[in-house]
Amino acid sequence: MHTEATGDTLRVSGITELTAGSARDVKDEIRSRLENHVIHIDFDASALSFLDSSGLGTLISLQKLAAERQGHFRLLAPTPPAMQVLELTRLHRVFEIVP
Amino acid sequence: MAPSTAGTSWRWSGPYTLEAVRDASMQARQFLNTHRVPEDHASGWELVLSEAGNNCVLHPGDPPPTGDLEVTLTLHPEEIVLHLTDRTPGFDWPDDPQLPPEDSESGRGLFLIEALTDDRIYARGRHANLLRLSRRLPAPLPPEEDYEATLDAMTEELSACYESLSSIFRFTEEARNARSIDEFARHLLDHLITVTSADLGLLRIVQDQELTCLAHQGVADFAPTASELQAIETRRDLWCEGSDAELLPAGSRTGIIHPFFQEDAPMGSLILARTRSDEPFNAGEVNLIHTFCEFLTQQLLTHRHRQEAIRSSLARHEFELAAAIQRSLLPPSLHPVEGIQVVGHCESALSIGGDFYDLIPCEGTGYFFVIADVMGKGVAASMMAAVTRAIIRTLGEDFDHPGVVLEKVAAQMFEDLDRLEMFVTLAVGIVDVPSGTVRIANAGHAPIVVSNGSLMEAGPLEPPIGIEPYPRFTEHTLSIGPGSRVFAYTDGLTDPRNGRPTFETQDEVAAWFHRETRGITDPEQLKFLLLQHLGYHPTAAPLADDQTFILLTLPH
Repeated sequence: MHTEATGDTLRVSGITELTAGSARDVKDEIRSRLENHVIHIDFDASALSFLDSSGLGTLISLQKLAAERQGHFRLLAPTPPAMQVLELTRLHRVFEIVP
Repeated sequence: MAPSTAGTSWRWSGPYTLEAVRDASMQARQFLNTHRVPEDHASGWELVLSEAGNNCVLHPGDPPPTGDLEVTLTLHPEEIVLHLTDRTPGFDWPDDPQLPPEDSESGRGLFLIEALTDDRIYARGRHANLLRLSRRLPAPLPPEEDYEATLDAMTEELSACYESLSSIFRFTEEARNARSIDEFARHLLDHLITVTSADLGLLRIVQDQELTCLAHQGVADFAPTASELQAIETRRDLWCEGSDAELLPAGSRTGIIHPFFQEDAPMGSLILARTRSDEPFNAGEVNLIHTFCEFLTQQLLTHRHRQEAIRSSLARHEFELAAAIQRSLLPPSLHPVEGIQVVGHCESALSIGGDFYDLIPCEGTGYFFVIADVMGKGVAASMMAAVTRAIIRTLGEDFDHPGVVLEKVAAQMFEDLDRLEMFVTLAVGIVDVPSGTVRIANAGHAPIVVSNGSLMEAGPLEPPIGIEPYPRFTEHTLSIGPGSRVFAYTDGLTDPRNGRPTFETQDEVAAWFHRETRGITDPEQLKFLLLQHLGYHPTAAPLADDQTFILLTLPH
């Protein structure tokens, strides 16, 4: 996983799986990188080849985190498998998705 | 639920950990990919197994379960079934799992399982729980490949390719050194028989639209059969096995007739057969047969191109020879005799013809002229023109009597011309200044035009030389005087195939000459006007027929 803060936005990338086994670690890692001035989170999902229900929980958690800071959470370029899971669970209507 | 029949299964058992479940789901997907299950189904089962397994790991109960999680994924022709056995306390599977509120961070696992499967059975037991999930496939899976057979076939093909390649290298060298295409084809057939374990072979090529045997081994040459012609016509290999082996040479038990082509043109056919075995040629051997025939086709084409080049070279040499002969027949520029000025012109067609002219000074009289066209082209026509000219030159004592000259020429040449089925149109004449006449004899040639204020013509009254053995020739005697012009030409001037402006008829030639050159007695000027009218240019495209003419003029 790679994180990079630019201004008030934290960009997260390089995550290939977001599963029950990795969800907590990913969430904790991102939280730790969130400095006070960072309010937005851009989650680059272009490498995300596998996403399960726990991974969805992580994404919702991150969205809440950004909302608490009056920022936004965006999913960038999700892969087809990730998009399929988002659509099945209707979360594609919840997240701001940037193709 | 579609009825399940026995299928291919993948089994797994492992500890109750998230890592183990993830590993299992990845293995399951790999199993499905290997069996060419559609991608969306394979990824769906990966997720379903993850969700179901994670559920057991995340809700182990107290005390934690003993033993392993057990998973079986079975691939049936029309559906995929997953069995998961766990030893957790279990739970009540909801009849209709719903999505949690949008901001909920959990509770979507069962919904995903529900969404990605068609049927679900959850049996909760005292010691173990069994979850059975199934999903129908969109279309029956293609039959499984026999990998061993595929591997064998690939090995065989590779071996055949290697054999083909090494043979082609060897035969390329041989083709270079072979004394003839027959010898090369013989070696090629011998080798092909060896590498394909055949017992006999016969190779034919199409030559002059007929199938001709080029090489044979183990069988004598025989007339092409209907089967060979059928193979060529249908452009398909004809397999001869069992009772069809009768289509092959006697004694054959199995074999093939392979036609080969160069693009659309049939090049030949190959018969290869076994007399000691019923085993048909396998794919690798057929591959070899095809490759060899393609190679032979290329060699045949190379051979034919080479032959064509030789023929072309010979033709060019013949052309040059004929042109040299024709040039040698033309007299050099000549001086006036008795005031008569002469000029000639001969432009050869692409394929040298038999036109020639001659102008022989006769001191005290004037000029004897000859104009002729030997029927035919090439060296033969040129040679006959040379012979005609030579004979005429020996008849100097008869030049005063052109009819006699033609009779003697005809008598001497008839036998040869008749045998060669050739003839010569020939007109000769003497411009006799002291007597004020021109006497002309014409054997089938274009009319000689004489213009002396009025227009006169000496047309052919007798057939060409070579038609009759001893013809008699009538002489035209026409008056000439100061300013008279005599114009003789060959039929190239009226040949429309020449692609340049020509006269349409002999009458038109005479009329034009009389009308357009009236009063001009300089033969060079007349020649210039005539060539201009004929569209002559030194770099113009070659003619289809020679254009030859002579002009004799008397000064005013």
